[in-house]
Amino acid sequence: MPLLESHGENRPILEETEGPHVLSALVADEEPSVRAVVKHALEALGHTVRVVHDGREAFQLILKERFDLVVTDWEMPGIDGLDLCRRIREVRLPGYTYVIILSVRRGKTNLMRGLSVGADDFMAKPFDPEELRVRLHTAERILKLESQLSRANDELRRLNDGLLKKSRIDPLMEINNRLTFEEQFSQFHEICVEREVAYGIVMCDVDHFKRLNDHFGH
Amino acid sequence: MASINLQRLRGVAMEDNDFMIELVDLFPDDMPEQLDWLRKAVERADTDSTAKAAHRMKGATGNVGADRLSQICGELEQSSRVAEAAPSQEVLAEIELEWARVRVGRAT
Repeated sequence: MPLLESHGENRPILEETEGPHVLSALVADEEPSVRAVVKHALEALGHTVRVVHDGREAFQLILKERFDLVVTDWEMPGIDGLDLCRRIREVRLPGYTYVIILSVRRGKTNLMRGLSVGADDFMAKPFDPEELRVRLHTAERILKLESQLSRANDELRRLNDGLLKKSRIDPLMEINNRLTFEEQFSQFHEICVEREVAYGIVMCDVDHFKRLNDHFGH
Repeated sequence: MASINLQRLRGVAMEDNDFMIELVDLFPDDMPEQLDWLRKAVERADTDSTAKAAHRMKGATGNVGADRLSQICGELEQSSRVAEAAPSQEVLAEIELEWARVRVGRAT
């Protein structure tokens, strides 16, 4: 039986999620007016926004709360934007964090430096709300795919656990089967060898089992 | 060139008039502090600090449409990064003059 059909109704593992996606966003910038305009633009698009002054504050908040999107400046005292990006990629966070670096820096070298530490996108200052709106299409697409994949992964893991259990039980007798015996016995054997202890085996067999089957049924 | 580019300001505020006013009010809050920082760096002939201060001011002023001021700050940043020579007092004077223009423009 194919793995995915064992799930019951023919529900696809990669499910579509409906409706507009509200992102939880974090904005890190030293400049009050930049924080204000980015927050304003994100809120106008229906997203929820938190703002912080620098990378350290941003990282502390990221460890405590879940953010889909981080918009960060490059130059900040302490932990700068690149460092923040690196740290976000190093820690295991629940779900994907889409990072946009917003900087007055331009040019290919800067773009590549930003992307190489794990930023997803790079926006040049002065900040343009319209540009952010368009760039967020990509962010939303990636975040959606990521959440679909992670749900599909959970589902597969669950199915796999079920199959693993099933493959070790005899369907007819509903007791452990030969595979379970081999696994448990080889473990036991290794322990005995290691500790240099002897063990004995009692083996029982029922002769003419077919007759029992014929008489009592399966 | 006008001291504040209204088109830019309107665009970044997404035509939201209340927010535009909020933004203009917010903008100069720490400008005196930043200018002071820049002035001290120039006086110390500290090119690195000058570049950093000018860089920050470039971003802050460009964000709200103070285009000319942002441009001068950008030039100062560039020249401080390349030249070993001490940053010029003249550029500093120009920045202070343009900042005064922006403030006046804000009031009118």
